[in-house]
Amino acid sequence: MTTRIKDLNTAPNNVGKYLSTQGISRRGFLKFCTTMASMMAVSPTLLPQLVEALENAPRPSVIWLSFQECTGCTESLTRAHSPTVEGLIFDAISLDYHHTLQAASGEAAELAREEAMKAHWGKYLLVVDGSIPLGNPGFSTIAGMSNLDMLLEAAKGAAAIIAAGTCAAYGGIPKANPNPTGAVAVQDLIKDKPIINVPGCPPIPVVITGVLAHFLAFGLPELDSLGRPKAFYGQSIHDRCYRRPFYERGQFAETFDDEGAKQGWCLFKLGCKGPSTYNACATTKWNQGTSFPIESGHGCLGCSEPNFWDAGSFYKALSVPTGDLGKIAGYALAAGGIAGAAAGLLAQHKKGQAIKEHKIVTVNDLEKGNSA
Amino acid sequence: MIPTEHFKLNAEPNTDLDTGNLLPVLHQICHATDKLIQHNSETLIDLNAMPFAPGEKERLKATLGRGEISIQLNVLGRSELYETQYAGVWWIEHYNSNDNLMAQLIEINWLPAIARSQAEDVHAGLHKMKAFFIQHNGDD
Ligand code: SF4
Repeated sequence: MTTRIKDLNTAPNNVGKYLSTQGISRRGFLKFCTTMASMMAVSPTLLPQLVEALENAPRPSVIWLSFQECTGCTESLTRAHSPTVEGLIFDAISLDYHHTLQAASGEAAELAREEAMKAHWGKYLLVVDGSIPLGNPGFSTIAGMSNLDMLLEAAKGAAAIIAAGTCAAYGGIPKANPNPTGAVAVQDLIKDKPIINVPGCPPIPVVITGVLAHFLAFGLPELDSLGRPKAFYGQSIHDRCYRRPFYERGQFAETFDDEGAKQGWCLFKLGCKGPSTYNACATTKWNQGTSFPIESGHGCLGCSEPNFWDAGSFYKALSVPTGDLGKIAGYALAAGGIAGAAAGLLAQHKKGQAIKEHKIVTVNDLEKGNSA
Repeated sequence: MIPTEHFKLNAEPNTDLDTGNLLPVLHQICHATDKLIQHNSETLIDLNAMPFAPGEKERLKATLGRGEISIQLNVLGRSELYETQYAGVWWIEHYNSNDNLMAQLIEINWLPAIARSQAEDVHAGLHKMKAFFIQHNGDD
C-alpha cells in the first residue's frame, strides 16, 4: 500500500487515461460505462454523458475504515471487486487504506493511512462500515485508537463520506436494543461533511460500485430524506416486486408451505417488509443477478431501513397501509430505465405518493404489525 | 414500422405470474424502430432497470427471436450481440470475466455502437503498426 501511494504520484490522474495505461481499450471502457450505467440505474440516454464524465474524472484517494461490524459489507464489496468489468471501478479509484483487504499490517498499515490522508487532505473519499461505540472507547479499537477518534480525525480531511452498510448508516445490529456498546451511526457524529448512506445488511455489491461510479462521474448523488442515493433507494421493494400482481389481487401466502406459497403469491401476510423498504434488490438482485429473498420465497426483512432489527417480528405483517395503488397496469419500471413506455409505468403521482408515505413509516408503525 | 399485432401474438401472458411489463417494452421497441427510420436516432433500453417475473424476460427474448447476424466481443469478458428477427433491433448481453451476466440491453440501431471500431482504438492500432515498421526497417 505504501508503494502504491508512491506509484500514484506518477500515475495519470484521471480515470480514462489511467485505464488506458492499464491496457483497457476504448471498447472496453464503453463496456465498463454501459455496465456501470446499468448498475447505477442511470437512463441509457445519459450514457454519452457518463462516458465523458468518467473519462475525465480525477482518480480519488479512498480511505476505508471498518468499525463495529461483521465484515459482511467488505465481503459484499469483494464480490464486486473480482477482476471483472465492474471491478474496474476499483482501478478507477485509489483504495489507499482498507485494513481487511490490504497486505500491510500493524504500523505500516497505519502509516499508509496517515500518508494517504496527508497527501490528499481535503480531497479523499472516506468510506466507513460499522457503527461507532460511545459506551467505552475500548469496545472497538484499531491499532490502539478508538473508532471515535479515528473517525473524527479521518472525517476532518475528507471531501465526502460514504457510510456503507446499515451499521454505519443507522447503527444497525450493534445499535439493536439494548445497544450494549452505545453504538451510533456516522451521521450522529459528523455534521459538517456530505454523507452518503448506502445501507443494507450488507449493501448490494453493485450498489456500492454504482455509488462510487456516480461520485466519480457526477459528484454527490441526489439523496432521499434518510441520506440514501435516490437512484438506488428511490423506490420500494414493493414498487418493483414481481409478486405485486398477487398483492393487488389480494392473493397472499398464509404459511410458507401452503398452496399460495407454492403458487408464488404475495408474502405480505408472512411479514414481508417490502412495502416500507427502499432498496434495489428487486431489480439488481443478488448473487450475480440470480434472485433476491422474495424470489426465494421469504419476505423482505427491511435491512436497509433504520432500526430494522427492532421493528418487531420479521414474520409479523405490516399494518401500515401502502396506499390505494389500485388498478395499476404494471409495476414501476425503474426511474429512467425505459423512458417513454406508455403502460406498465407506475404513474408518477403514485410514486410520489409512495415516497411520501415512506417518509412517515417509522419503526413504531412497523411494530404495530399484527400476525394477520 | 413493425406490426404490433405480430408482437402481441407472442407476448400474451402464459402464466399468472406477470408484471405486465412485456407489452410496454415491445411497444417501446416498436416506437424506437420507427424513430430510427424517421430520424436516424438510436435507442438503448436497459432490461436490468425493470422488474420481470421469472420467465418473463425469456418470453421477451423468444418473442423477438433471432435474426441473421451474431457478434461476439471479447473485451473484459465476452459480450454477445445479435440482431433479432426484427432488423435494427439488437439483443445485447455483457458478461464479466467470470462469465456472470452484468448487463442486458436492447439497442435499436443500424449496428450496436459498441461493435463499431472506436476511433481511439484505431489510432492506437495505427500507432502500433507504424512502430512495427520503424522497428522492422531498423532491423534491416
Ligand atoms: S408485500 Fe412483499 S412479496 Fe408482496 S408484493 Fe410487496 S414486496 Fe412483494
